[in-house]
Amino acid sequence: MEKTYKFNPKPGFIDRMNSLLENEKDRQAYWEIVHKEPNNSIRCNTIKISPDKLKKRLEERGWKIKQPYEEYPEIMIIESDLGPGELGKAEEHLLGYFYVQEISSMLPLIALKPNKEDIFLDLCASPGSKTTQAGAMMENKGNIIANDSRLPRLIILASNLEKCGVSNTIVTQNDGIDLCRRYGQERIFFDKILVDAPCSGEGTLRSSPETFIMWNPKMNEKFSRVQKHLAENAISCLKIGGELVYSTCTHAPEENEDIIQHLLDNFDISIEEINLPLKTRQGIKEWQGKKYSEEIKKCVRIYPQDNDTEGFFLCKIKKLSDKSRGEHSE
Amino acid sequence: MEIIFNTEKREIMKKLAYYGINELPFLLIKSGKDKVRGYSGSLSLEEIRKLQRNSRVEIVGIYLFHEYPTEIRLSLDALHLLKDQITKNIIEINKDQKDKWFRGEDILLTKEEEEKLKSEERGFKVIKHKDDLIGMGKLTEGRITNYLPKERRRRGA
Repeated sequence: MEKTYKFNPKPGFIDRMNSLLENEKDRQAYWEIVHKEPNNSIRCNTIKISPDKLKKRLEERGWKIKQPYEEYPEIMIIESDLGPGELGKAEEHLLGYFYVQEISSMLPLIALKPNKEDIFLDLCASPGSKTTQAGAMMENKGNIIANDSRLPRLIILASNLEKCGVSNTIVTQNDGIDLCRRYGQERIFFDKILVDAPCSGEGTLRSSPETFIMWNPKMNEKFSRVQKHLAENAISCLKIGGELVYSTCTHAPEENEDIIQHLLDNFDISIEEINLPLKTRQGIKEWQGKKYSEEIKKCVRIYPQDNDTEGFFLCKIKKLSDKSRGEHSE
Repeated sequence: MEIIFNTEKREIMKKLAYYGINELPFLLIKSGKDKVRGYSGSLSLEEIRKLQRNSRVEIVGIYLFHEYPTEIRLSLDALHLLKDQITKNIIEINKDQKDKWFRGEDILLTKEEEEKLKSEERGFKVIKHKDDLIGMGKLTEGRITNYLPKERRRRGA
């Protein structure tokens, strides 16, 4: 007998996901996990406290804490069952000692590795999960420009930056595409850029099951157009030799591999290998009759059933020159 | 964007000495009438101005403190960033008081506590519980007024 859930996927979405997944076993694992609530994962805010100290304090509360990745002790999963709002009401949270963040959402910064010397642009920064993570990785040195286009989202971003004690940041409110154009024209360049693009959110079904209802096939194309413009303009204000991570929390190839293929076709860039501490899958080779370059394989897909996380996509790009692809091959 | 330069910064440092703070490694920026923000990033003032000319800059750095004519009230997050320097004008509270503090309540002092704090100067104090600096309070007769911002209080507790 089929299980019934509060929110169910639309037939078009089922077909698309089944085409993306490898085999029946994989599909079964996916459709099971997307109806399961995600883990309670947090990131220790190393600006304020060390992972060891935080872990000890949380264990004193009686919480069972797992640090799944030895090389990233700041990433923690709370394995105990928590009451509603218990995580948010914890004093350690009110004091900004940890940030509630899904593990897959921590990956773009792990891939980008901003450091104390970098001038870093977080183009679509709200609500600030990744900006605060960057602030901690950069030890409040270097510089972060955290941009978002809408004021209500900017207020949340600012509040999270305060709470985490991130002081190396300049917050701007601009349309991301316009901002990059202006910066490019004025020769304001960045060592590292994160384009965590607005997307259809297919990877966030576990935490936002209403996405099942909101999803429609036109969304992928609509977001794809904006994402292409954001990504290509971001490249224009990246330093030569600089690195850009493009990420989304969706599985749709129109919003992922399509965008990277567009960048490969038009800019002198390379796709860099990414080493992440969990199971990843390569970018796909083909979607609905469209074939992608061999390099697209270096893109990373995260499926929820592989690591008990949300779904995600990321790709790390290096800018090789200012030339467009056409110019370079001449 | 109004920058606080050396002469004014020296006045601020005098006030911060009340807490034992003798170093403020930030570019200081006025935010509103009495609020001061601090930026610890690597951009020069000229570079920040260039950004302002080319984009809508809303916020620079983090809210550090509210400046009064003779005192300074540090933000909760400034307490954390400057924790290692803060050595003076600290009041330690117990667990019950801490629980009330996170609910946003003032701390009402017992006769015994008042007696203990008799020699303390009235005014702003750093509130500490165990290893944590948990905000700023104002010590007056019989109570410590709670200045913990609403969004950092425990709701529905």
